[in-house]
Amino acid sequence: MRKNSSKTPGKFFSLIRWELEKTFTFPTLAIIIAVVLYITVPATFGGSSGRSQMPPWTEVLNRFAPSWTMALSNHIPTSFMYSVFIFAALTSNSLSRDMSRGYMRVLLSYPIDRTKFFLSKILVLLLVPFLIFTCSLLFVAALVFPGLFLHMPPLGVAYMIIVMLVQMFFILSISLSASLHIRQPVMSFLASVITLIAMEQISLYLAAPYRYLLPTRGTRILMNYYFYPSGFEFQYAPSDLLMALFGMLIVPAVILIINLIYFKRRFQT
Amino acid sequence: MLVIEADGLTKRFGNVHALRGLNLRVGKGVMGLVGPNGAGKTTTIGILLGLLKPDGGKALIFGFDCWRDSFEVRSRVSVLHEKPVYPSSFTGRRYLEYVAEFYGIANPKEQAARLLSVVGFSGAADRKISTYSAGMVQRIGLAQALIGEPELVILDEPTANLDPIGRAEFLEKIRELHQEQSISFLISTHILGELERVCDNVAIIDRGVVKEQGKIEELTKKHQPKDYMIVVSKPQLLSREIKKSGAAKEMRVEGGKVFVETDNRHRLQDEVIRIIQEHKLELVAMGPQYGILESIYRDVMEEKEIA
Repeated sequence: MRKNSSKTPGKFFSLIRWELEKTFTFPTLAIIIAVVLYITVPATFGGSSGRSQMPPWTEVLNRFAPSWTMALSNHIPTSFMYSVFIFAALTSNSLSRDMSRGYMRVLLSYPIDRTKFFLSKILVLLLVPFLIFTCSLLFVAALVFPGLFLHMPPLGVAYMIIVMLVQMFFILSISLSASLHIRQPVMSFLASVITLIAMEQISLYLAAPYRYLLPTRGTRILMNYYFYPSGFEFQYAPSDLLMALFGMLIVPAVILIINLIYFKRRFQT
Repeated sequence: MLVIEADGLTKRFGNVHALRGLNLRVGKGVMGLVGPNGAGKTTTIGILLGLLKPDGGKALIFGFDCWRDSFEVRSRVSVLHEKPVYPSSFTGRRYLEYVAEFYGIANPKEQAARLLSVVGFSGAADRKISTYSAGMVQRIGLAQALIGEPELVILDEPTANLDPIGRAEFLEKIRELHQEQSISFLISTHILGELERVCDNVAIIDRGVVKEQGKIEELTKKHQPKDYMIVVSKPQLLSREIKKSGAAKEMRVEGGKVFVETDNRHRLQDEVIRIIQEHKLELVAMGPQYGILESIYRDVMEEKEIA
């Protein structure tokens, strides 16, 4: 009789390590880091024209921290477009490729709980790019202007990072759905990218507060509510914030739960 | 105790009926699941492993429902899939260690090393899987299927990627494992000759149903070979004489051999012996044209066509 137990936590960590080792290899990891640096470096310099505005070192910490805060908080919603490509590529590479190449069939033939398998995928696909984003953001900022984040609003950096995670969570939910149902890497990548960009475009035409259901309007309002509580471009209503929270947190969570149930009970390979 | 019990399994993929009420009973031992391409063998295996949900009927392994209790099933059953693909960035050893972890084995490294030696795969174990030949991948596939002492191992076209020597070694390994560790095997293949050496039982499947199943000895009695090959010193003469005697349904001479199809094996034998004695021919060889399993398979398929 086999020695095995589905309840062994080791299996979950084995799945996470498996996923990390399988997915984040060269050149995937190198590409993510390169893209992330491309996104975060201009943000840290305060926008595309920031380099010419760089002040002398002595004035940096006190005078320019607020403007960099603004630059960063604005840049995170606009990093949506880059994140879309990263997540679409990663989920397609991890999930659709597993299915199309037959890894999934092999893996699901082992005594692995499907819920754990699915959660390990989400965890790795969400947290690894997120950590790379965060580390490079902090690293570049710290390298260029040591102490910059100390001069930001209290907990500002943490909040900014959380909003970035929320935005990534939304993108992942769509990419993962596309990868799970389309099962073909290139097509699922295209479907994810088109869907997410379409959502972003649709949000431009929706009236408030419905436009805040979707990124990047939703991310922007989450950001602005913290950094500019008295209003930035215009005054936000509390319903706008609620709509953004619903759209950016509840909707992707529901999408992922539905996919989890589908994967556990109905998925066939 | 029955290892596999399938009753009335049906499965459709769009308009294609892969299984149309498949019934299968498999006890302990080595069972062959044979049939032409597209017969439903891989679909049956998918259902048995809980990878596919049957549209109708039920499948049990060791009494566990294959879809509902698939975790329990997969804890007792291993599989080597047809044309298996493993992550190319892993080494063979690392892959086996992960599989051992998935099975909750206490010492995955030790288990991986032991199985690599069991399947005779120690040299290249630390190379990446992407560098392996098809035969090497198949060996890693067999090693991963043996992790954690399975009670049943399902092999889907296990020798499809192997050369003749590799096939013989692979089958010998299966025979050894069955004899030494009492592991039951279900081997799906359409290469019949090789199954004869290892199988006790066979099920013939075609167009989604099992046409025949049972012990090979019993099936041999039921489905007598009809095609014989005779090698004699004067094949043309023998052919003419057999034709005159009326003991053959059809006959041809090719490459110095006489191929005869008959419904009455005993009469053919008597006639051949008589002709050889009368004409003082030298008999080099006489026997069924095909192997035992292939003869059974052809007979079952012919019955199906007639029906």
